Amino acid sequence: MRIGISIVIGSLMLAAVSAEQQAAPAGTAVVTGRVIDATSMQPIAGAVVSMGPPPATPTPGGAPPSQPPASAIKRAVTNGDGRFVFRDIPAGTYSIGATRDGYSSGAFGRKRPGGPQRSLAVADAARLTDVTIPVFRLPTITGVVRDDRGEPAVGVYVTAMRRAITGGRAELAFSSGEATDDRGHYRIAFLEPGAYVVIAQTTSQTVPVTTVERYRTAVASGTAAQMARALREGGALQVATEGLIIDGWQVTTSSRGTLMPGPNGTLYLSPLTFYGGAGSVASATVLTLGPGDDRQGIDFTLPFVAGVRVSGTVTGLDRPAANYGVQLVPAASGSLTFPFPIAYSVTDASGGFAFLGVPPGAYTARVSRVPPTGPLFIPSAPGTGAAAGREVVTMPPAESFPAMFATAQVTVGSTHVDGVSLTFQPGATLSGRFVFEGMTTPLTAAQLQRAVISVRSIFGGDSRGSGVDARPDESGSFKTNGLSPGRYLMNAGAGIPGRQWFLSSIHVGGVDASDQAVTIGTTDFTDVVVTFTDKSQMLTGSVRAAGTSTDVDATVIAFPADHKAWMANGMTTRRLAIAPTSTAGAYQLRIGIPGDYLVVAVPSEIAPDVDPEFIARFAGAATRVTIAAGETKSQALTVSRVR
Amino acid sequence: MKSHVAIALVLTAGLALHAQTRGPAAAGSATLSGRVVRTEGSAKVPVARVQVSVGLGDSSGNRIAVTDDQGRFEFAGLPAGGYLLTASRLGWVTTYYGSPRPGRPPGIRVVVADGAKASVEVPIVPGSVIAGRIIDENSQPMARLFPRLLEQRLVGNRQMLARMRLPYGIGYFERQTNDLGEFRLFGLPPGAYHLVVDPSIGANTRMTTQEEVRWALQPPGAVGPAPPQGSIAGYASMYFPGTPDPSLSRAIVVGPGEVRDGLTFRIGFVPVSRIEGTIQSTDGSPVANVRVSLDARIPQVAMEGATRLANADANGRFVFSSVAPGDYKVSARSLPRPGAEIGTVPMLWAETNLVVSGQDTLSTALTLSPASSMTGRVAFAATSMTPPSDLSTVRLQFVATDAQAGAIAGGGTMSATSYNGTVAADGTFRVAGLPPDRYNVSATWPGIRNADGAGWWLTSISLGGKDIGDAPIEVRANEEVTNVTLGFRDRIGAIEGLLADAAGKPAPEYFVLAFPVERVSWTTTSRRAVPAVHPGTDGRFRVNGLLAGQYYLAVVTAVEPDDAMDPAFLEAILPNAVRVTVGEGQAVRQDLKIGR
Repeated sequence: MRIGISIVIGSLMLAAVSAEQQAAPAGTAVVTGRVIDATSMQPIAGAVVSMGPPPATPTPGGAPPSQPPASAIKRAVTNGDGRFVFRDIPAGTYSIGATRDGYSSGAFGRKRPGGPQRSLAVADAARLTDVTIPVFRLPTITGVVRDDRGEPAVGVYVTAMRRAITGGRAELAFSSGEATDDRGHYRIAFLEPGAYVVIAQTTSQTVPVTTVERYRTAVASGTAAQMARALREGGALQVATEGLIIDGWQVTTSSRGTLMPGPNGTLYLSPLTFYGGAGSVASATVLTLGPGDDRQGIDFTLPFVAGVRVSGTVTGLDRPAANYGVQLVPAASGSLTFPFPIAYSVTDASGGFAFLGVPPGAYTARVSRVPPTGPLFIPSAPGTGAAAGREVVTMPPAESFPAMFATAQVTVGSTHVDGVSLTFQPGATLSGRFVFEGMTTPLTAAQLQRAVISVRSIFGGDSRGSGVDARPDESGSFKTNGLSPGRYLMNAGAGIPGRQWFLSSIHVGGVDASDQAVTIGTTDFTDVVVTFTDKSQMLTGSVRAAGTSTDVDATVIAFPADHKAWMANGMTTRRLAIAPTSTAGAYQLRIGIPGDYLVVAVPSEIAPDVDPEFIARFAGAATRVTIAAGETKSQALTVSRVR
Repeated sequence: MKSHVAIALVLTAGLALHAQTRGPAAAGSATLSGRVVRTEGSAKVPVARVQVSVGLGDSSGNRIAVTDDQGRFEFAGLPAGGYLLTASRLGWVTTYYGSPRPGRPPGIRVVVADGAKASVEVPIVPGSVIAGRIIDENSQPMARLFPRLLEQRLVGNRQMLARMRLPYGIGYFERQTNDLGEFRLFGLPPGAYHLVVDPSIGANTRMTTQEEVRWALQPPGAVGPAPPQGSIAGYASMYFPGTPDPSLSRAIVVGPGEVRDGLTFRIGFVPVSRIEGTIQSTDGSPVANVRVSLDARIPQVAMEGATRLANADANGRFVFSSVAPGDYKVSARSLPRPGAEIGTVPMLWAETNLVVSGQDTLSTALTLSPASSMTGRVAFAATSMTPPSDLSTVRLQFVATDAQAGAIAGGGTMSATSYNGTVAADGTFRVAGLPPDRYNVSATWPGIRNADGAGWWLTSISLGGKDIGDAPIEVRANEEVTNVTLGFRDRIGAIEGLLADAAGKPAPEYFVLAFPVERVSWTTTSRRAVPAVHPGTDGRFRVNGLLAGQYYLAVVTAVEPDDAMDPAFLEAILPNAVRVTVGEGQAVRQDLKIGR
């Protein structure tokens, strides 16, 4: 009887233990260490340290690696000395990371923000007492913004725009911003290290008063759906219901900047201003920020200038082009591109548009008619008690919406520019077929339709009409919607489970558009061939440390031997391969396109930001390798001493 | 309660009034101009670059002008009418022209006739500033925290801390702390503010104790027994200057234009708990597809977004992790199967209270019982409009009264305790799955109401043929509520008249407040709660949206939006109020004269 009872209790306890084990398998090792600021070497208190299975290495063409279960991750917050302790750790390989707001996340073995991490091997009953996790203080930019009267400019949105290489050109991308406070102060924190241009941002929106009134009446009477839909189809912004009215147009600005009417239909406003460059990106100062840099005194004095009117008409439809969104974008100049609109307008019932308060400069006015995407929320009538934005309207399918575009170059001086003509032209389409080389059994229609070709403008900025995706039909044929004239790069994915397919080429008019940018005008391309193959190219090998060093912690990078032509053609990432070495120094690169490459191993603390500057630094130290189709080649490397 | 003066009334008779509402965008011949000034000592100093907006306060929209270096502005070509004027500049407190309190509507109307010119002097005050630093236990900056402003306000019929009603220009600058932990809230109207932050940290993050560190650093040969693990770290909502207890929250008082900077807001970890629960049916079997919500029971605060939700798994189990110490309510409600028509499946509910005190894990079990249902009909009584032919366009929402009070005060907890009812084409409705509570009804339907109050209004609620007036509908456990009639009419009552001073001149500087005679209706969730109104510069006022019944009408110099239903405030002004009876859909004429 006694025995019986003790067995019952024992099995209950066993059940409890096994549940606990499921949550976190108990081990015998102890891992302790410190989180430190990588620059000052000071301990970081209150950092959250996570210890768990190492991240799985993604396989080329395979499914994304699955996340480890949450129960497999242990978390601790560091004490006042920056210390953490993990106990009862089973033997195995682990990754350890640390986060603290204001710092780029740290990891064991990481040598630069966002750099590769190392795994930590833990043996049974091990006591690791000196595990250091570096975190990297993020750079900041601070300054004061004043208006033309020398008073603090309040609520001005100051943005740090990161310089990025897109399609072989330096282009600005929005990164982070902050509005000025009552003293005109701003502080942009939480930036990743990099090269930045700082702007005091103002965009204006000019809308016909008739449109505002119709919209307001429609909202009040609960009949806004039709008009909201028309505005969405025309790519127009949400209409502001209150603003300054000049000659039948209502104008408002972003960041609630001040507007004041000037003489003869001019409008005073503070235009987009670049730090160090006034109104032009070409002369803007580029700030290079490393970890922990505090860049102070990035001050602005905003001009308050009278800008003129730029107006015209959108034509080219079989009816007046009402409710279309028209944009005014600074024309590209110099080595840096600012690809964002500075002003928006909406066409009136007869297709007329106007931008008010445009400062002198060269611009492109543009309008597009592309399939609207996403749900449309309709503002509901006040007074009925319904929550705003409940009603959702289904937009027409993309196929029934052939894309059309119009652009015009505009040079603005001190007088109004009227009569700008924007005539819609149908966008050029691409059509052709998908081919699978080495295919033994034909793909089913369902398999085929998982493949996709994506066409992207090599310039970023506003995305309307600058990219399009298409999937093949059951016979493998495809046709895209129209594209605005410009330079494009293409990519394609097979997405077919069970077998790895690698993109071989996308032939467009005699050029591999996955390898170099193609100019698309107003003529359709009808014989595009997207080819996949089951063969891939690999470059493998081992990396030796430079000189007497034993540290083989490196990043291996392969780029085309003819890098000048590659950069000129849009710097396609298909000819770029980057991978960290293993702890033992082994590397493995998948090469997208056969050909001549330069391969170099750089210390892992150097960020592999492959731009013309980077190539100029490392091309001389790189090793030349020729890779044939389907070939796997081995190449030994030494870590470059170039810094 | 803020400063106020109640004034004796003398009643006079007068002529009928007709409100004039035409859009200011339409051309007219009236001119409204003026100057925006700030006070510096005894001098009035012009303020430039102030955005001045005028409008009729209806759907016709506003016109905007910007002051010049002399602070001047002008609106020419306005249609005749009574205009509301605001003056705003970033960092300054928005002026509602005529309102005695900076930054607080309503203002008074400036009446201009065709061909006439009116000129006004508009005062503006610089915004107050609350600024400081948020730091942790180690005095390290707490970045990316979002300090939110609270104020003491009426919630239902109780004073609580609630989210401050922010003018748009201030909400724009309420933002997260920077990398130094600094915050700066500016452009604030003078007043008393509380601050709250809600820090977060990943679930199951343990504190590292000194004992653990000492033990882990011992040489391998000399390892002693392991000390206990650190507790699981978490946060509660933290109130300035660093307390999880809202009753210890310290108000920060700022005068006009005052800068209170250098405030230190210190935040520490609290041991948090994991609540593991089971949902079972009355026969003890586990139930799947149940939504569980966790609400803190803090009588002093109406907090938005404080409700946490979880779904029970197939075995009826649910978990809430990182729960800070305190009193909580756990409630469960079965969800309809996907695709099932609402109301056809019996809803089940359960509720329990828990005290959480920092233990690692806390277990609870809830047993579901069937929820109640309500049936009835909607009825439309028309005087001039045609009732909707298809009554299924009417949407009903039943909201637990306390949750509604919180939602009115700025909380976001209403959705967890609101239940939708659909109406059949013939007007009958049924709402199923109502847990026991007191419910208010709101309804939406297509079509609009204009400023005169024409349009459909939910004017009466009756139960078994008996009008329940302003009382909520009581739902008890295991009891169906039947024979509810929701009556709509196309007219709503109003009180309108002229407010004159002792000399018989228009007195637009005062407020007219109408409030129900029945004291049970003195709560912010009352359907009889209407905001105070300012007469125009011609002395004409109109209190709109009044359900039939008896009201008091009082004239006051100042009233906070929430005081309009604050029992203490209403008792104080009651002796000087007059009684007015408003019939169904009736516009009652009541002129007021200030006697002294």
